[in-house]
Amino acid sequence: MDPKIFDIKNADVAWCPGCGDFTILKTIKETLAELEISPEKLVFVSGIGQAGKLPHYIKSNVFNGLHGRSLPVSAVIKAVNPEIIIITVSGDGCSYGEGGNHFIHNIRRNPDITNIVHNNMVYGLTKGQASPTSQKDFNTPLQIEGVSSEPFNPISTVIALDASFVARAFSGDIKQTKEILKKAIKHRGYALIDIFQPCVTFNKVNTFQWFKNNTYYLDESHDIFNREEAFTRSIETEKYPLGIFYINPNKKTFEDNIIPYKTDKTPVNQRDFNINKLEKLINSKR
Amino acid sequence: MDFIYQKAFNLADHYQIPVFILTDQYFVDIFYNQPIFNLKDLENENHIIKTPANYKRYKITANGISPRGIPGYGEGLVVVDSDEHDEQRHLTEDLELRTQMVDKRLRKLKEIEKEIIPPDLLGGSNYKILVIGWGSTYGPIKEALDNLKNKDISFLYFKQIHPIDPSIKNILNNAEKTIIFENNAQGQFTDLIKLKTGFEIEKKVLKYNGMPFSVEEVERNLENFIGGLTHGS
Ligand SMILES: Cc1ncc(C[n+]2csc(CCOP(=O)(O)OP(=O)(O)O)c2C)c(N)n1
Ligand SMILES: [Mg+2]
Repeated sequence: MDPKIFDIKNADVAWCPGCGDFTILKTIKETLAELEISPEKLVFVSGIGQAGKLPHYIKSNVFNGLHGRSLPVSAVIKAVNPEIIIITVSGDGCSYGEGGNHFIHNIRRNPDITNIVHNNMVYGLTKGQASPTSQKDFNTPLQIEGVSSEPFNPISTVIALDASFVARAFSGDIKQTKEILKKAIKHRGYALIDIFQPCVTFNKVNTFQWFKNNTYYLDESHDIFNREEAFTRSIETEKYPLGIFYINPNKKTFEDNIIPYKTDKTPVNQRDFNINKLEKLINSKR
Repeated sequence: MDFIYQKAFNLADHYQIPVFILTDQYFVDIFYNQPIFNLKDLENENHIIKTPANYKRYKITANGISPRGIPGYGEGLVVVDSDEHDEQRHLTEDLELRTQMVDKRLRKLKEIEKEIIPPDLLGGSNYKILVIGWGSTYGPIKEALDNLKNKDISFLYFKQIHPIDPSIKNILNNAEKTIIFENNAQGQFTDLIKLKTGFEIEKKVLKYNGMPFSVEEVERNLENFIGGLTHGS
């Protein structure tokens, strides 16, 4: 499949020249084309931020909702129609800050969705305030004396919660990111891919070069099915590991677990209202 | 039988808007015998269309309603956005388009106004005194009026409190005296009636200690309000 089928003609792209978001967009389009997933089969869900605008630049079904609220919407779209492939895309601020509560409890539900987080360690859209992943002492127009809090570690948080697929990538490496993304999309269950992404305008510390110098890929010696080992690697900060940290292939998904699909696999949104069932339900309460 | 909840769902589906049903502790805590619902009256509307290839989620239409598609049903792509957008869905900062989209959304309100549930008038239509209530004040007011057996008093009970039809002013104007019972501290519905109709209700009885009105309390307030009139003609 030609990745061009995902192009939107004359899209008025709001990103700065050189932004890592462009390469992530390119990577996603190529991944989908290589997996032969056509636009009608997909829903992109996002919150608010520069990353959250990505669905506007790719031909697909889209729900671009509120800041921090991409995951509950994703889980529900999946629940009413499990045949649809969901890709949730948003920034580090949206996903881990205001969306933090949803982020945690979504892992417990384990819907079959792929969650891409553009992690540029800053609030890009709102012009450079600290995000939950901003590093200590990072100076911003708001945190003028530097960030005083410890950064949030999404990878170790989700491994602690036994998330079913956990990976970190770097936007500057399209080839490797594509491989990770393919596995994440094919994986059944919740998949987090935190993608390091340079923000050329508001993060002059964690630049393209910084990410290159401060990351390395996990090699074959890493056992992706070993949760403890994955956790140990996730807390490394001297250099940040990239690649797949952890997979738990044995978890049931949200859709598997909810009552409407226990006996009937027909998507809820394709079922008809059944007045006899309702009557029976009401009578059962008498 | 009216199914208010069902109407709310159908309205929300048809107009693609949130519909709020207000409740309170009295409503959720009371128990009473309820006849079995007549499900034959259920009207389960379906407003989802099968999308054509060139589907536009925010199509500008005369009544303001853009036909609603969902992903995976039909040939079109469905794009929903929380920021201002064009008909296709693209984000826009075009000021003219912004005005058109606001107008489109407001045209829906005109349609919704055609479906307002009018208030119920309980009692005769030749009333001198009109008691107004909404929500859970229904029971105590109705029972108080049944006890008083005064043909001069009628009860105007609102099931829908927003939007309201400005023509209710005529019903209010027909009364010599008007009194409203509200379970809140500021009489918000009194203010809303004034805002939408210009009509000023003469007497507000407000109770906001967390308890519902008792029948005796309504009777006492009515007696005070109309002096010796309670057991009149
Ligand atoms: C409910 C709500 N809270 C806050 C905001 C303001 N806001 C918009 S984007 C944003 C943060 C963006 O940062 P991030 O999610 O990292 O995305 P980026 O722009 O860096 O890609 C904030 C705080 C908002 N629009 N809505
Ligand atoms: Mg960010």
